[in-house]
Amino acid sequence: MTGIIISLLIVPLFSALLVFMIPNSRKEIFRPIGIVFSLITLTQCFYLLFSDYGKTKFVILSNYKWIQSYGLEISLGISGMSTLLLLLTSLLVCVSLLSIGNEHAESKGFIGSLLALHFAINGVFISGDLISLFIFFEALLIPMYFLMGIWGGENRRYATIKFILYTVFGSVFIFIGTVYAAVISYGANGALAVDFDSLASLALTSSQSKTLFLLFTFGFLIKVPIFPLHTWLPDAHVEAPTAGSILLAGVLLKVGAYGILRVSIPFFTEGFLAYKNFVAVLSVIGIIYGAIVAIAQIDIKKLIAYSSVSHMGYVMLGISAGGYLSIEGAIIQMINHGITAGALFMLVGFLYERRHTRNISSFGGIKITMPRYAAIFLFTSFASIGLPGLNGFVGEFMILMGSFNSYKFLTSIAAFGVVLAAIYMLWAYQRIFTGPISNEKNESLKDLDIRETLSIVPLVLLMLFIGIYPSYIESFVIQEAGFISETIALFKDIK
Amino acid sequence: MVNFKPTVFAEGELVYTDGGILAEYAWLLVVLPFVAALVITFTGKYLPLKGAEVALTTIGVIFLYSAALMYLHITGGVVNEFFINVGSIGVFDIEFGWVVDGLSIMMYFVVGTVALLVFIYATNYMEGEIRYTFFFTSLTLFAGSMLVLVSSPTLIQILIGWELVGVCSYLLIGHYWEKKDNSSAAMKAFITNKIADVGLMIGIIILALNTGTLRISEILYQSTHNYEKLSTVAFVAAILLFIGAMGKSAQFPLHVWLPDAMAGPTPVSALMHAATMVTAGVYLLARMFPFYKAMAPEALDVVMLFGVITLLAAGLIAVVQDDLKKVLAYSTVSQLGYMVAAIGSGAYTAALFHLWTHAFFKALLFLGAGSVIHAVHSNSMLEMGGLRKVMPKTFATFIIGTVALAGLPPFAGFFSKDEILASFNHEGETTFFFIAVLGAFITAFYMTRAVSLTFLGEYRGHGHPHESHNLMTTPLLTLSVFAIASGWVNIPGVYTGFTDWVTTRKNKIVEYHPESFDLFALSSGLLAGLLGIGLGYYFYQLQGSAETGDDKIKIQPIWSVLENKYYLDHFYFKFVIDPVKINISKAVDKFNTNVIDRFVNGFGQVASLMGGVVYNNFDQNGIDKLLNMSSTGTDNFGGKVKLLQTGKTQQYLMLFLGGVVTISLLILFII
Repeated sequence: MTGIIISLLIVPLFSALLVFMIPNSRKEIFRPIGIVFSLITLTQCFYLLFSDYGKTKFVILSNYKWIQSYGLEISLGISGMSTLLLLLTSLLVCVSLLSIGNEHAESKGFIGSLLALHFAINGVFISGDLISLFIFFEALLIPMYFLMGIWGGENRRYATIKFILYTVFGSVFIFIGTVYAAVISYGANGALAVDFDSLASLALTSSQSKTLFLLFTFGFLIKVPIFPLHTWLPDAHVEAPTAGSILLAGVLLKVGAYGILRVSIPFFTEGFLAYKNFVAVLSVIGIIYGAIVAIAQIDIKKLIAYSSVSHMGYVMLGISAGGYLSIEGAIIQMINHGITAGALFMLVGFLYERRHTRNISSFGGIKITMPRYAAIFLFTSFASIGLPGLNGFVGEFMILMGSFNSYKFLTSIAAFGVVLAAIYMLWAYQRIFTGPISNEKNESLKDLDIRETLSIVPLVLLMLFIGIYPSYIESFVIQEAGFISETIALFKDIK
Repeated sequence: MVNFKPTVFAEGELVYTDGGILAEYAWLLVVLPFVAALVITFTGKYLPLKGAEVALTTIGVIFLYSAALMYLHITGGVVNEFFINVGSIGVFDIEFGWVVDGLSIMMYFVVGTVALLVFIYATNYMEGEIRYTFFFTSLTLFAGSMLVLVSSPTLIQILIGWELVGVCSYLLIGHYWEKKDNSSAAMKAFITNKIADVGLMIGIIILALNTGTLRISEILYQSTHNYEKLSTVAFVAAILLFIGAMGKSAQFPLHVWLPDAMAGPTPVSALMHAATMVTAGVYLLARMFPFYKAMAPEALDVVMLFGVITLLAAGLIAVVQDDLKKVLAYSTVSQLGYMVAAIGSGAYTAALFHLWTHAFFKALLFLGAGSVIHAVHSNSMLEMGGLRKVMPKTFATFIIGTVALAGLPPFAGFFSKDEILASFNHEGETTFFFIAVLGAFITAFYMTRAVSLTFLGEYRGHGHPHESHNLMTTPLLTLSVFAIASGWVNIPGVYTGFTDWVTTRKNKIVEYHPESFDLFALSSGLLAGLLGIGLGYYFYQLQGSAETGDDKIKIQPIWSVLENKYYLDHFYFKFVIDPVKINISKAVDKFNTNVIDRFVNGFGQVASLMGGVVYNNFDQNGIDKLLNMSSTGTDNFGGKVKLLQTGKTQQYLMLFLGGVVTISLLILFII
């Protein structure tokens, strides 16, 4: 099993290096190489999913001594939630490689960066200690920096710097937290042990727990992003190239919520209990606020970006409610939002490649020329709105149900996010697809070709599958959600 | 995982059967339409009838199956429910399944019958129309979604069917999406319903959290057995469920979507108004009736109030409409008001009985209207008139539908409306009783007006109208039979089979049901109907309005209030929709850019400013001077490092990755 875990790092890394070593004269094979290697990773993730570790809480599988004299170790491990997120990452890398236009697909740097990003994201989800979590957390900024800074849109410099600075600003707090935790651990164990097992056994005082919770959570919340720390997201999304947006929305946003579930809550539970109401209020503001701002957008990509703020608000609401059902819902919502938002960004990318604009008003009536595209877009919109029978509903319903007893008022407000979601998605759909063709440039638009259809169909099928049979995906997170919520409940009892 | 074991228990006194194999396979009713929709989607274009044959066959099978169930139920009584467990969320089992009991069998039969006739009609009506195949896919799905809803033994399945119905209506209302009004109407329907759905969803969550189950029969059992946890939240949950029902069943003030939904093709309107969508709310209230009755009787008063407001308010608007379909649409809203008010008064059977008869005669009226519109190519009654001569079959059947709606014996509406009036009378709701009688008068009046303007007098249009194809008139004739006879299944003192059908349920229904005719209610209702017809005939026929299409009784300002639908749409647009869509969202967006984001940018600017100050004053003049002294050696090294800084991303990345590899190798092997 250790071999599989390590290879989750090595395979993407090797493929990235491979792409860099191939001469530019063979540029047509960059994309196939990327796809093949991401498929290998995908297969490995499936193997993990069906192994003994596909359904557990986090288990550390291997330790590597790093700085021996201080007892500092690098630990790698796996859990149900990690496996699902790894699977989502590989899938999104694979389909986004397939979906991008030739301009990007034949660029060595682009494909290489994407695969390097894959490597770094995988690292985050298998990290078993604070140090490696921090390293990978930072490492994924580097390829993202290139993807956005070089292949981004017009305003890419501003967006890239904002994205990097914002995240790094948050990372500073995570770093301080890591050092603080290490120091506390050194006092207790005589070693700088910050792996998750040691952290769990640390006896923290109330103020230590609160301080550490704030330090870590602040950094993670920027990544989620939660209101009012969200303004980097729309700029980053709009300026990033399609593949970048897919991974940004699909996976990078989940890293924040993942960190909170993995580190902030289990290890600093007292801090969590002290500040959870505050987080819940911000989440619900984010749900409504993100949705309302989305209504006002004239750029399709920005609209979807703000919808992400709204949808991630549900995740944070579920997490802060802290119950079994709500945390389970939050994890499932993370996966589902990854699928749906990824698909939406991919779809917008298809349109952008054809018309080189994302302005809603430059479309209208294109359902006539692109019926297949319109159907898939509508389907995905319904999944995003949270229609029962499709994936978006599953997580949101579980979150609302799980949070209701803790936050009756907030949850009721949050439920209206669904109405606002219907307004901004369907209104955008109406303006883009229905009515007569208002712009003559749209008269000759080509419908999706086979490559494009193939890259979106897996996501569409997943939306349907998870929506109809949610307990399958749920079975992988039962233990983990149970563990996290029990940690919280136990702590409440002790208090 | 699949629990096919039938669970039967009798809470009432009647003896039921478990329905045997017919009940066991009733899932076919739900699954078939979805299979058919897939088949039509992928093969429809290559079939001789462009997919309509698949849809027709499917609905035909559903009709036959529901008829067989109906027969079984009438002869033996069937109560059974089946669950398929698909896992759990938290402590809640997620179960799908199907209920086979009086209430659901009645709904299967209504959906099956009306849908079959509408489908047959649509094959001709929609001939040559754009997206013919897709139309049949959506129509099949529409019927299927409704069956998902009415077959549901769990609240979660109700929610799924509920939303699927919403989506199908969105697709069908917006069928002619090339025109903006149509896609706007579709959106309005979906979003108005979505607002109501929030109520339903929270209601379901509250019920589930306080009963520990999502099974409806279980919740109803707890309701009738005084479970304390449930009783504390019952009122709130009951109101929230009713808000959900208000959306689908178009109760005031959430009815605004239904008249706009006329933007869809007429067969869609017929199906939507009779069987597959607007009845969902009434069905939900009926399904949950034992809960309302036992745990939240105060909520029933609220239900009744809204029902009565709706029946009067919508009826009045129908009087001033010039669009034939809109008259019928407001009439539906008004009749739904009767049903909801009936449930509110505790008359479970009366409400369902009206749902039953209304489904047939309203489908008849809509299809008749469609036949007329097909002939004159206009919705406006001002461009009709005199059509009785050229469209005798349509005329005759439309008259039957009208009389049934107006409530004259022996037509169907008479019996069902009378039961509702009798129930109001019995409950001592004098005010509501008289409003309902007034509503009956208004109903008869606006229908007479519609008939006069459409069929009587002289033709005012410019086309050459002719009788419709047999494929359209046959469903009309068939529905006329139902519009006459469907009321005979529940005649107090003579035959009350319908009462037995719909009260044969797992959970016992406690309600008032008249043993014999309430002569006061009967004569009031009848008088109101006759008066309405008479006055309508007087104004629109004898006074000659039908000749000119001109309303002689327009009384300002009431008329304009009614024509503007109580300014409700204006209100919504001015104070809800436009503010949200434009003012609020723009304002929040501005706040987002100008306040939050400016703060972020300002933060960055201050940081870079400070960096500049520190750099110029401290760094360059202070530290750097010291360093410059030792820089000669560094220059050498810097020159070499500079070679690496080529500005090429790929090399940067290469170095990054190389670094990663080196470090990992170090970790793995050396240390």
